[in-house]
Amino acid sequence: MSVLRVLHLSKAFGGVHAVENVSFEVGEGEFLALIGPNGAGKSTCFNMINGQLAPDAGDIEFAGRSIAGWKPRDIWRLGVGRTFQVAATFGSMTVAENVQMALKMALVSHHGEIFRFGAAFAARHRERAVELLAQVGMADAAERACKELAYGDVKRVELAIALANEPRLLLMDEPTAGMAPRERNDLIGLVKRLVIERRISVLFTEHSMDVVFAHADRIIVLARGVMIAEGDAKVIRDNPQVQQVYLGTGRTFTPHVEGRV
Amino acid sequence: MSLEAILFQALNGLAAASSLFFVGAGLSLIFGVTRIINIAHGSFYMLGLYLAATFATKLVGGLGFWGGILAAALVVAALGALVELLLLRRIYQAPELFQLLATFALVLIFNDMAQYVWGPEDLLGPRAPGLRGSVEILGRNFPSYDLFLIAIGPLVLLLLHLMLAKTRFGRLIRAATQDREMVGALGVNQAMLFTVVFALGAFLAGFGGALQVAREPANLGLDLVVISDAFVVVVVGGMGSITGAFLAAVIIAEVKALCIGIGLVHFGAVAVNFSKLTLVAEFLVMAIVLIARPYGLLGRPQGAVRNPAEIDDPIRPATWPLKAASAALLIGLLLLPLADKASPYALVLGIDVLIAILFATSLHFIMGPGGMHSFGHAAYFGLGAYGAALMVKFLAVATPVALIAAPLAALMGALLFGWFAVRLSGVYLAMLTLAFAQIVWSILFQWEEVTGGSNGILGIWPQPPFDTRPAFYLLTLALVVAGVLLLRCFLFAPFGYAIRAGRDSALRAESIGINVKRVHWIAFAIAGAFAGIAGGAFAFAKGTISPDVAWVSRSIDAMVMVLLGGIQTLAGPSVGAAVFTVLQDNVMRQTTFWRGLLGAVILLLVLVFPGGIVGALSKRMAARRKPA
Repeated sequence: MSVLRVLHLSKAFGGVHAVENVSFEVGEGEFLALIGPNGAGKSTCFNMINGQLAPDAGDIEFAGRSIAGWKPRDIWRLGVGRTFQVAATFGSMTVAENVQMALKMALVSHHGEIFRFGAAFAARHRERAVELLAQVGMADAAERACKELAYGDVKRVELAIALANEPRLLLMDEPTAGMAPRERNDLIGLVKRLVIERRISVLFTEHSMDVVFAHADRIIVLARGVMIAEGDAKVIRDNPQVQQVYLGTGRTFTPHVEGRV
Repeated sequence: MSLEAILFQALNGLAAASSLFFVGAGLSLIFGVTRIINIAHGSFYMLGLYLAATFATKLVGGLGFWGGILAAALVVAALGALVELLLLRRIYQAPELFQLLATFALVLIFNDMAQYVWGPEDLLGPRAPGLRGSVEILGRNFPSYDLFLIAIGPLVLLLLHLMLAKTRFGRLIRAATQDREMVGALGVNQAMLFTVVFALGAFLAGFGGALQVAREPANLGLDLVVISDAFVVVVVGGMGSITGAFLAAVIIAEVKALCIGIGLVHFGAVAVNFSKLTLVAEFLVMAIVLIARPYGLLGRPQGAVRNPAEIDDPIRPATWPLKAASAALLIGLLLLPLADKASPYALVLGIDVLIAILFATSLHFIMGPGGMHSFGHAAYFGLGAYGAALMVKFLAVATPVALIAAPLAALMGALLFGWFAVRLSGVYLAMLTLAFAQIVWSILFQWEEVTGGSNGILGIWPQPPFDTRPAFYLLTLALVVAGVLLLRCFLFAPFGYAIRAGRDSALRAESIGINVKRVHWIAFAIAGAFAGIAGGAFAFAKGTISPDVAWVSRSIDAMVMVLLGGIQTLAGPSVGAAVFTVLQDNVMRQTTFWRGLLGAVILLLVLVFPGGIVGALSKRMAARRKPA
């Protein structure tokens, strides 16, 4: 049973077909990597699934519901967590408050409830936030201002935020970008442990191939907006077209695709 | 109105468009390259006009007039270069807000300079030698000088266009407009480029002003009038686009000219005097353009500005020493009426300080935690003041009822304007809020039947039991303390956290379910309502109000209070408001040039104390705590 189904998704910017007729599914508990060279359309795909962009054509189904064109905040409500390529957290809040904010939003039934002006925020969902932070190894930093953290730690906090609404699907855009190799493996190891425990499906993009081939259950390769390969690590490694895209002739697209552009 | 009359009026509009275009183009050029919104651009225009009038009267003959126009523009250009070298160069890396404030400080200083040199009277220049007469067009007399003005606008547009397209200097300007860091990295002498561009922009403004010498008298109110117009031109045309500025100048000037031309129109029983709606019409055009095309008619989205402001510290509930100190202060304030016999002025000043505290705190609510730098907060203060005053004038309601009407009136305005404002950010937000405040001001000013026009409303005194000074002081104290505490309470509630979440990272906030626009909109409305309470109290404290309550300088005063106290602190606005009000009160009695002095204080603040008083204090306390 698949959690996310992407059906014939297309998006163009002016004359550039950033994503063209891309279809794939993310299975329950699957760790699926979306890779491709720069300009392949990974981020555009992500932004459509997350609601930052509305697709030109095609559909996106999450848990059986069409969410194409929904706003990010509504998609999140359905149970989709998201981390960004450049970690997005609330710098002026403490680490705990960052997670509390997400927990608060996860627990209000509709967003009108945020307009309760009286009750103090500080104690809300405090224990649960520290618990989540402990799971990403950041409980000790709970009282520190988020802006003071090292970047690797900010990424961990962001992961805790993304997990706050107990998502069924986690979208991670280059989770290890800007991290040292050692940190990188720690973070991915952590993510994997957490999602297996919680039976969360993960869709992630990644530039570092060692991470992808070591951890992904399945890999999808995009080039110039078109899906060119799909399969496990071995299939992808042996695919001549993928090799060409990454190593080959310096041309990152087939004549067939070029013709259409 | 006949077709001929409309066409004739359109010609008048074109003549007015040229100077508007010069100021707008200069502002736009400077913003494109330096990313600074030069609020003092209207001052350059004003100085150009004063200088040209002086040259034309002191130097006789055609040379004095025509040469004087050029000389005036050159002097203004030199002044611009000086400003860039001495001031702006130090603040390119500062947060946007400080740059805006610094250039506003220049407005104050230049205005007092002009008053010192030329005095408070209007200064009228002579008519243009050689173009004194008029030409008959469409059966009416059209001044020849205005024909000259109509021609010179497109001519300068062409020259600017050629310069930008064909010369190396023009290429540098265009490159810097797109990515100034990159231009610097390519080995261009950026410092030089910035100075020259600023001087060129100042030249255009000075030229625009100087050209008006034969049409309008120089006066000290021109700087703010012109800068408001120039903002509209630049925003409508698109920031950084010269052709856009021209297009917008023509549109704005035409809309205004037609409003004047249409005059009084009867729609059935309702008579509308369009010539009184010029300001409203102008800002309506701008609001419509901003909503339809947020970057103006010919503008493009701006590249990211790479000087983010420092991020706030997490907010903390007050510590017990602070709570104790606040309680002591409150007791002191409660006892102040006992001093009324000895020095009656203490309570008058006390009321002013209290009102300023609530006003500044309400602005801080959206400016600090919300990150929305409103340059038009006085609109809501003014709506509150008039809301209360009109209730008293027309319905003769009891004082408490009028004081409830005040925030309601302000709330209505803030809900309406805020809906637009939260859709923009940065300098566009600053300009839109300023424009809305100008709309409110012009309605108060021009709707004489209801608001009393420039005379305002008189005789709004509190009724018993609030009709004595101590009683009204205590009422104000209660309102202000409740208001400040309530706003503070909001900030510690989930709602306040959501406001800050939207400011820190709208991306993250939206992806955890926060409707950032809605949250900021409500915050804007709340801030407006509390400013309205301050305005209502102000009306009763003074007994008389005029459209001044909503004028730009009141908005800026509030902003200075917030920054003086420290925008990144919660107690800052109160401290800043108190210090500012007492200072202003003292300085105002010492000198006629207190505005200039205020400007100097602002510059000092921006250059030396960017954290404000409370910011500097808490930094020192933190530094002392750390080694221990």
